[in-house]
Amino acid sequence: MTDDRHLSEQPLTGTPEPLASAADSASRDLAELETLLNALADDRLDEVGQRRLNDMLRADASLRQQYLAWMQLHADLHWDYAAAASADDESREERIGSHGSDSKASLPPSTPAEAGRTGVSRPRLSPRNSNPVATKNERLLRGVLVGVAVLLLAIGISSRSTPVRREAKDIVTLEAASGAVTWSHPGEETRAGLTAGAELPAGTLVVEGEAASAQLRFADGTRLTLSGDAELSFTDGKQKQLVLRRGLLAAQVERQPPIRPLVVRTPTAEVRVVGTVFSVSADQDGTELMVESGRVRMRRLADGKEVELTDRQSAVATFDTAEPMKPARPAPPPPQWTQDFREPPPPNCKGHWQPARDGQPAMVTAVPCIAGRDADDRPVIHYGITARAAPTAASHGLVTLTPTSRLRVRYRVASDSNVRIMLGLQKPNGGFGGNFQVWLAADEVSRLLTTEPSTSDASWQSLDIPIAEFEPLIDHIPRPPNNAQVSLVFVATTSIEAGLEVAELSITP
Amino acid sequence: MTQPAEPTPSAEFIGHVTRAQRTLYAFILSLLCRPEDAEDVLQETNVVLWTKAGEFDASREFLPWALRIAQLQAMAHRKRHAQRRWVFDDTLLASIADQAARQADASGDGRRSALVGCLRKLPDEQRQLVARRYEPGGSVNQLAEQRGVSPKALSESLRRIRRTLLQCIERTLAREAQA
Repeated sequence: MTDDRHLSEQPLTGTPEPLASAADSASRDLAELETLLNALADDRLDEVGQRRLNDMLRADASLRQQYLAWMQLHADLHWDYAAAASADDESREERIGSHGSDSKASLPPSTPAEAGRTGVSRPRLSPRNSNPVATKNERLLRGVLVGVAVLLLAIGISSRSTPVRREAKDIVTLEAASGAVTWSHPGEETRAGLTAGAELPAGTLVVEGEAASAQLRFADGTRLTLSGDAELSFTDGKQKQLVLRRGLLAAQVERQPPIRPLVVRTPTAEVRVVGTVFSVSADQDGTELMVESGRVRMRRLADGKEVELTDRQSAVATFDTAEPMKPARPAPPPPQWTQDFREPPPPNCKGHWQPARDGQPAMVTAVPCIAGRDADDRPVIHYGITARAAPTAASHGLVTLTPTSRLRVRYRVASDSNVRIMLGLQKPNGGFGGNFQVWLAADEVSRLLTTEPSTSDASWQSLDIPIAEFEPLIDHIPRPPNNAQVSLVFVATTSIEAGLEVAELSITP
Repeated sequence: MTQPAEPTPSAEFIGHVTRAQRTLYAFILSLLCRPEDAEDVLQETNVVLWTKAGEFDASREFLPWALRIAQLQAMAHRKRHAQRRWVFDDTLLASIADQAARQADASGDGRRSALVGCLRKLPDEQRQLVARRYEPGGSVNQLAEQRGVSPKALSESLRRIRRTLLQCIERTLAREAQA
């Protein structure tokens, strides 16, 4: 039990503090109760605290009243997780009144048989009582409707949102790992520097660094690939539930029971699938879903709107409910691409940009990037730059590769250094297409150098590398997929003294 | 698909169940304290409500009837897991249930709207902390580890935020009651 009472603490709002402002006995009780209830809410109330809480609530109806108000808030926050994540109140106010115009398709089934036929039936909520972000409400009730049709099956296994809980047993195998891959779970020792073959229980996997990736396989064959800077919590109790806080997740999902779909939650969306191949890219502000095959539904948490995507479609969900959530098929990028840094690169790129001046071309200079972690959790740092498509671009692909594509890098270094170049690829439909790299030792660089134009500064040099020379970083994607698109170019050196500067990147067919 | 033997609930009944979800969840959580238990019992309650739809007297209020069923389901859940250490003894649980049932609000719309508004007034960092704490899988220990603070310190931050939210909600509801 925590016994710190913080009686003198001022509320953040600067308003009167009913729980702890007075010095009389009743106020002390309220302050103590608040401490106990907070510990209860955070699962930190020990046995002594429980006894004290029992005594207090048993003796005083007004304290029970306070308890109920506290638990109401606790319940509401559990229920309205999305509301806490969203900051857009004005649009939310509109949403509160706008959700009742459900189409006929969203009416509840008139009979249980209909519920059974449709598989999933969504109860209609009146405008007054609609709750656009109360996804738990809809999921729970949907569970009931389905459950009546298949009563015994549905009890306890309908599609509610069960928090990720600790599973004692290992539930996934780490089939491949590249870069810094770390598993953690509260109460468990963090496992850093993971390598292929590790068996992992439910928990959180973090991959760090531009070139990092991890591939997980569940017992049923479902495969997940996490790449880039990404964080994923996963469990597989009654159903597979994933929370993708950031990064790119590519999933190849084996057939799941229809009433227990795989669920992916992100800060802005929820994706439910029963068997398909898709990718989800997420950060705090938005989620992009790309479907390779099958059908996938995505629900925007901010207002509960859903979109269903089929083969080779994509859609974006953010907190902006004014934005339509429409399926789209982005056009592929051209087979040729050049980045000469005359304009500042998009904000999602790494490196310090410098405009052209004093006869020097525009360039980006290398910044520290995490390349891995050792078993003691110490980071391995490289120094590099990245090029990506702007987040607002219609496609995340910079260029479409051909079998004869070549990469050219114009750069200079202050001292000889190993050079690492990595390409992050995506499939034409946006799915993860693997990471490929060339690693050039300092004495090997000259083999790939091309002649600089006579007018240029002699310190600049260019590497010209056939894409075919890039090696896979992930075993199960041994070569670039057909018509793969480059979504990321990463150029780095291993030493800070090299002072890498890059003036141009290009890929030609 | 197996056909259930129970009579089909009316659209009105379905509406009652739909609107009561949030209230039922809060009620059950106040009895069992742990969200995981509350979710399990809410589902069990929903199934019982459905199967007993034919017994519901439409001339009576729905919510007290549903809350009573939820209370029974919560007690049954405790019995099934009797080996666990529950926060409240049976007598206190009955007192809490009585008090909660007397003041239960069928829709909670006003409170919910107030909560949304109050969440918006929080500084971004605090709102994000709440979101991370209450997202699926969110826990104080995990958050504390990620932020490099002790679980106690993080829980203390949450305590202040919760207090702020409670005060804000009460003020908002009071203003609306006067308007």
